[in-house]
Amino acid sequence: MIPRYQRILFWSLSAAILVVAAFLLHGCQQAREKLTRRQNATPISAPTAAPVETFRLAMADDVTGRIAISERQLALPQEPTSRAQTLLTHLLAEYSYKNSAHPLQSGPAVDDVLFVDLPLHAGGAPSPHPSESTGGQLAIVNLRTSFAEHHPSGIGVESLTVNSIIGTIYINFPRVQAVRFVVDGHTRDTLAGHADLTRAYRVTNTESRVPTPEELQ
Amino acid sequence: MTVLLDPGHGGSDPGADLGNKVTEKDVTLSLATKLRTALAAQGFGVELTRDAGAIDAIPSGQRAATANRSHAMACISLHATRSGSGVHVYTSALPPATENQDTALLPVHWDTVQEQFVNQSIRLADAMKVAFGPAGLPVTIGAATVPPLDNMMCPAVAVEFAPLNTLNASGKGAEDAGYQDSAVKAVTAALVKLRASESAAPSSEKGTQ
Repeated sequence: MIPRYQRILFWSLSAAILVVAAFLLHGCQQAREKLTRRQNATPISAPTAAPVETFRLAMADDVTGRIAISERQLALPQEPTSRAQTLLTHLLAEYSYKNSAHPLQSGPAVDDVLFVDLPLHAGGAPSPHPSESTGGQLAIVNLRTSFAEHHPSGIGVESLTVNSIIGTIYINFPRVQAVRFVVDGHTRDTLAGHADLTRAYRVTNTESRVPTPEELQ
Repeated sequence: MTVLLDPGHGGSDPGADLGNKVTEKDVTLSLATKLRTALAAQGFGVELTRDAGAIDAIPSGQRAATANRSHAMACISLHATRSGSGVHVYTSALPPATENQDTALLPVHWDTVQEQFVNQSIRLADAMKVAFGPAGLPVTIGAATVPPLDNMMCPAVAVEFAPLNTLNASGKGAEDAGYQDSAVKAVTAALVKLRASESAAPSSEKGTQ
């Protein structure tokens, strides 16, 4: 025979479990509704149809320390700055894929990209280099703080990211002569402790030369 | 002859996290301390841009100023990382100054001071590449824009130690004492050889100091 106090304790605990379960279910439901409200997909601008096109990316490889050109297909906007932002976002997103040769943390990386005609006049930003005085454009790549904060630290890995961005701009935007990096609109000394972000980088072909058999030996 | 050693980071700037609660600033200081002893034993004068007592982060300008006051035959910035593999020796990405440029008449921009020394820096990197091979450390040479290399008025390289992925030392990181000892021997051998070659045939290319 089970004593009466034990039966009371059993039913009290059972009731408490049911109450807590109901409370948790209610909490989960509220959290889900809150998230759904935040992910409001109502369009704020008119949709545009962009054809799928082939473009090239300068992809980095940590093991070899090299940059190689790779082709991709994607629908890209025609407006240059949106196009640059989409390209760079796609480039940096590829590095967060599993088995990436240059692994970076996933998440938004490029806030926006601006193109400024060169030469810059008095009152504008300083000229990136004394020789940058004839035509062309300066690209300002505005990275997100979260991207810089979570970027792996090291001369090699940071330089590869910078060269990958520069190489991709070089291939796809021939008018761009120089690139400056800012992070959430502000200048930052280095990407993650090593690669210098205080200066403008000349846009050149950053694709690595294939070593000769003699160099490999 | 003086060698300037610049242990990367320090003070409130820990540098890269190398795992197991080891930070880059501790590894670079350990390497610099070992190198100082090894180089002094070979008759070099050695200066460091920081020591263990640094509390605040050392600005790159201050590191460059220390290097420029030392009139060193070689300035070596030390770094360590978890990314990549092997030893990477970087010179400045600046283009070398042209041979016939009369530098005495031109103002030198702080951000491009190293232009005058790029060729000597490449020779220093090549000497290191030759020395790291016999030490069993895979080495690559490259160019990078990393402070304070571009502001140094001396043959300057940044040496970054990444984990070893060789058969004998798979995954061994820069915090490993054996790895550090091999690296110290290789750097010392490179500098001894470079000193000997410079003494035998003084280079016609001298920087503007």
